Amino acid sequence: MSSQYSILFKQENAHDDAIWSCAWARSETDGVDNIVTGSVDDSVKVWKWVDEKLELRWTLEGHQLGVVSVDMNQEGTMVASSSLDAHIRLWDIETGKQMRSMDAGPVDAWTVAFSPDSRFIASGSHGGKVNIFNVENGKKETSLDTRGKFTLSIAYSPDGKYVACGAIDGIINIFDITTGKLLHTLEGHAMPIRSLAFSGDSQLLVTASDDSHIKIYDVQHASLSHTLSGHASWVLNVSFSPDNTHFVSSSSDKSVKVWDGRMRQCAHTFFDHLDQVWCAEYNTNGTKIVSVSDDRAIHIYDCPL
Amino acid sequence: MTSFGWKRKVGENVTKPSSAFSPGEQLENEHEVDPDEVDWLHAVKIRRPVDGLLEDHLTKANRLKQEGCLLAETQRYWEAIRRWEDALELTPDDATLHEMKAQAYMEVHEVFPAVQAAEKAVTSDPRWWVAYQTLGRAQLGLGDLKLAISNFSKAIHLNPACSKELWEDDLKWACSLLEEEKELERKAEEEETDGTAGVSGEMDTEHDDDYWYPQLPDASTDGEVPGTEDTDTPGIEDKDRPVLDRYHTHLGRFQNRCRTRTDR
Repeated sequence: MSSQYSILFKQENAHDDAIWSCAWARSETDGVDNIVTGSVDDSVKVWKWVDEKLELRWTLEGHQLGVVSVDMNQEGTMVASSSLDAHIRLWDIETGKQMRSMDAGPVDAWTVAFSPDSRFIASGSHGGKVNIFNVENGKKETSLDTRGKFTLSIAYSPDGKYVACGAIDGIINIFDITTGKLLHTLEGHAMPIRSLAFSGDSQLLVTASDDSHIKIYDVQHASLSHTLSGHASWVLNVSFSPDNTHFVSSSSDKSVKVWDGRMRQCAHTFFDHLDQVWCAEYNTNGTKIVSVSDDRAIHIYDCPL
Repeated sequence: MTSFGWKRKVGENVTKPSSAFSPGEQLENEHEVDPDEVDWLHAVKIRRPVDGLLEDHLTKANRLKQEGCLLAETQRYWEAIRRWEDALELTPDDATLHEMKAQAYMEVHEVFPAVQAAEKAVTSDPRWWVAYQTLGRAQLGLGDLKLAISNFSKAIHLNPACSKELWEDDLKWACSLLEEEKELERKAEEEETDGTAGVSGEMDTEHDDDYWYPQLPDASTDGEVPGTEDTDTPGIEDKDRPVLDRYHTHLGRFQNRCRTRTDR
């Protein structure tokens, strides 16, 4: 086991254009570590992490415009991707085939997120609604109305109880999934919230905003626990480690930062990308981090446990 | 001292006027300067009363920028570009200056410099969606549809709540152009394959109201040849015209839409 933060691997020119999104999950069927990336070049790529390097497994083609967001289900068997062409597509990782394509309506597919039970996909929309699609039939199941602005970011709590979403005007809404009721509205940031993430025990919610701050909220009491600053520019993504304490953030300042949520301080900064880093995610057991950037590269980092 | 014009700019940025010298002393020194050497002292002296004292470089850059905007508003694009270039020497990282320059170059149909200026705007401020939009438009002027679409997409991604203009007029428009281009290429390819295989009379009738295709040397054996010859030549232009027309209307739209970006 490694004891120190370090960069393990760089895949240069992984796509033909800037990479906007990534996800990492281990497949429960064959135990393969899959990394999915989505790019402005309209393609979604599935990579296999073996022997400390990346192998391209599939190039998933079908989107007509840049891929804004990708996500994998808990079991690591399906990929969901959303694109500027307003379609959400579902892909089977094992076969590399498209399973379903859903037309979300014009400008209405931004971030996509799988529910913890893999039955639903949530996606934010232009009108401030959160649309929930059924994975089985591709139909829109329900729609949660924030009565707010463009919903940029979305996250399911791991216990499956809540959906949190962040809007372009900095407002955070938390919904109860079972009743569909709006539980809390938090006015945390004054600028767009491009990403938010729950901790593994669903107790904490971290938000990333263009105001270059990261905020930590207590979900139960809907109260602000801490504000972290450190990034010199927009914070583009946050993602929690499965160990419940650490989380990773990526920013327009070209850095990837690992934070200790308990100590409320930055544990490490990776300054390896040449351009803004749109997404950084942990692997299943929290020992590695993947990040993607405008510089078209995929980086894999080692994290001490 | 006009021969030292370019050095004065250097002097202004690098050398801070030293208060130890009075203008009188410098005048005395002037005669001792070797004509082949740089007359730094004198250069500084000339600059001081004009720019050094009246405004600092930020104020001056701003003034030049405003002047350029006024000139651009009255369609004096070349003079505007000149002003902005002067301003850029003082504030080389001002993305708005690069971006306005790109727009002005588009106005005067200098597509290549427009792309270059817009690229600089993007590198100066990679988070400013307007720079990507302008870069996309400049690339559209160059006929680089794929890059244009990529940059319009990046603009939208940076500012998802952007106006309909970026979605409809820029991104969708570029996509429709790409579709048309693909369609044309596909047809051209079809004809090429048809042209090599299509020696029979049946094929020729299909071509009557379709695209231009290479005249086959042995086609004269067919009775329909005079008819195809008549319709073929205008056929080229008719089919190509819509695309070109749309392209020119698009260029025209640039002019209507072009604004100066001073609101930042």
